[in-house]
Amino acid sequence: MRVLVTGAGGHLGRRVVDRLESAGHDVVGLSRRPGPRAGWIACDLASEGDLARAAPSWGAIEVVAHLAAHVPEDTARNAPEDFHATRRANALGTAALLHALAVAPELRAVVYASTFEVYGPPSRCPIDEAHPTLPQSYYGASKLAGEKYLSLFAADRRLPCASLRFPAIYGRGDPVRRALGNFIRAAAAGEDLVIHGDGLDRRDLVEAGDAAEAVVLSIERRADGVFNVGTGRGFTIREMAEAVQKVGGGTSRLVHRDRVRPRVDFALDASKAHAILGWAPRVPLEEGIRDQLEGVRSGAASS
Amino acid sequence: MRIAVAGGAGFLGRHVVRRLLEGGDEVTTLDGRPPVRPLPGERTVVCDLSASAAPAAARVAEEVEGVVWLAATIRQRTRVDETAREDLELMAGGPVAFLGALARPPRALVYLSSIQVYGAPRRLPVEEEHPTDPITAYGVAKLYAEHVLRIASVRIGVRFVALRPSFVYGPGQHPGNVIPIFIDAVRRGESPKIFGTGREIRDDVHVDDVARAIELALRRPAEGAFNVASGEPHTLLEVAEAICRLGPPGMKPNIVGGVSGWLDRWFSVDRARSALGFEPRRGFEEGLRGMWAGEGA
Repeated sequence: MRVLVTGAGGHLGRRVVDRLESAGHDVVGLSRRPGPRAGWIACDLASEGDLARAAPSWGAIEVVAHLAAHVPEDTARNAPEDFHATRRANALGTAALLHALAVAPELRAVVYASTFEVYGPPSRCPIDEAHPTLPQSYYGASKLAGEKYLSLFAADRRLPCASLRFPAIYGRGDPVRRALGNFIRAAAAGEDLVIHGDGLDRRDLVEAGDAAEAVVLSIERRADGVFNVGTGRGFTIREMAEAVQKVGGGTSRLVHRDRVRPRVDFALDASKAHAILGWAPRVPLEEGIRDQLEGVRSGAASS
Repeated sequence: MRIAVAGGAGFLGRHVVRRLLEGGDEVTTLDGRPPVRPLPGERTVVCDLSASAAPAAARVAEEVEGVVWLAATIRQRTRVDETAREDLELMAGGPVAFLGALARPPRALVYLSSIQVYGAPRRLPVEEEHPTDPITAYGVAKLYAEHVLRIASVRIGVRFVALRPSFVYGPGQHPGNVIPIFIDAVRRGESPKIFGTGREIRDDVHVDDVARAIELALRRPAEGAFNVASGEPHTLLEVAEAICRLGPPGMKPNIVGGVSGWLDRWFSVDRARSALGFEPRRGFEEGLRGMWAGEGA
């Protein structure tokens, strides 16, 4: 099967490409910057010129895994430049890609990487797919717009199209600065692990390999609609810190500081993904942390 | 109040600007084209309102206490095509960039969204908590705009209201819509043609009522999203019959039949009633009589 993967050089994309290739699929990688791999196409989706140049070289694409996105370093900050960057890359980039796919006659399915940030303040925990969507970040709003464009595309082309709503995706090479990654970087540097508040806030996490598996299963099963991909219960910030401390085996201590944000518990109910995709998280937290920590120690994720 | 009305030269814009001027507000109309008939006291600025140009428009608008954003594309595509770019830049990028470039935050931002944010109604009447699953690219851009403007308003400290009008009719409306088409037919002595069964449910709200809802949203301390509708749904046959009654005696609609693909629509205005004090005033028959009589836009 010929699969177009956007964001192929990213944290999630690299793993999706590896899995698809080992399953014998023919992968065409798209990445914003040239050169992660020979034969991949450099393309900024929001640029009309880039897309027009790239589309003829895709060939007869049968499946698209649309994983490319702009993720601001701190999505809660909502800086004006985050609005412009996410509007361009995520809302417009997705619309432009779908428009370009209007002329892909062999196309049979699209899978889109979305985010838990489409939900906004949780009114229940865990959150299921029917929960209202009131994003609190420009990033979440832009990813939701991408989901909505994909729904129009699915109805128009009568194709199965899936939006996978991921929580934070961790694992070796995780570039994002948030709780778990910060703990891991601190542990690697022999620094203390700082918890703001009591650390009982719950967050969901998915290891990058497990996340990639959800994308591959969605492709294979021709999934249609919106799917949460998460653990269903998440981990408390304290559990994350303790796991990092244990795996790190060093001298890092847990240190409590004042809370900076009000307490929010957040986990994604993935029973739909379990029932329809046959997906379940497989990598235990400590194992995922060990891998990411090794990556940091060997300098693979110095970013 | 000093108010900037973006898209003030359009159908709804003309009614809004006139109402605000009559209420004693200072109004600056910002639009890509000048109004056909400028109103006494209206300040007009012809400018591009898309994301890249909106900061310049904000500097021209100077200090404003209220912003009304009506500027929009009007196409209703059910597929994603090259027009999505313009939709996003004008309806979402424009207002956020405009707001961010104002020298001082206004007190209120009123954004004209649309009932298109809901998509196919799952229950009637549709209230504001109904899921938002647009079935047009226009609806996607409006929904995205509601979200990003809510976020930007929190950040800047502006009171934000999104109004979701149903089908707006009245003097000055584009002639390609069903009510002007029916009126035109009856004027020519022809029966209005109904494609479908005539039992299609619609919710037509008079442009005067929408303009008043905008004024209320500028002045009342409310926040959030509100339907602006008639509170009085009609079938398509009732609409055609009401227009026939304005014409020569004995005029009857002609039900052509066929599958119209129409989605029944009817919207609750309870939330606008309680939070904005909004009450639809223009009765349907009376509103149609005004259009028939050619009352001024």
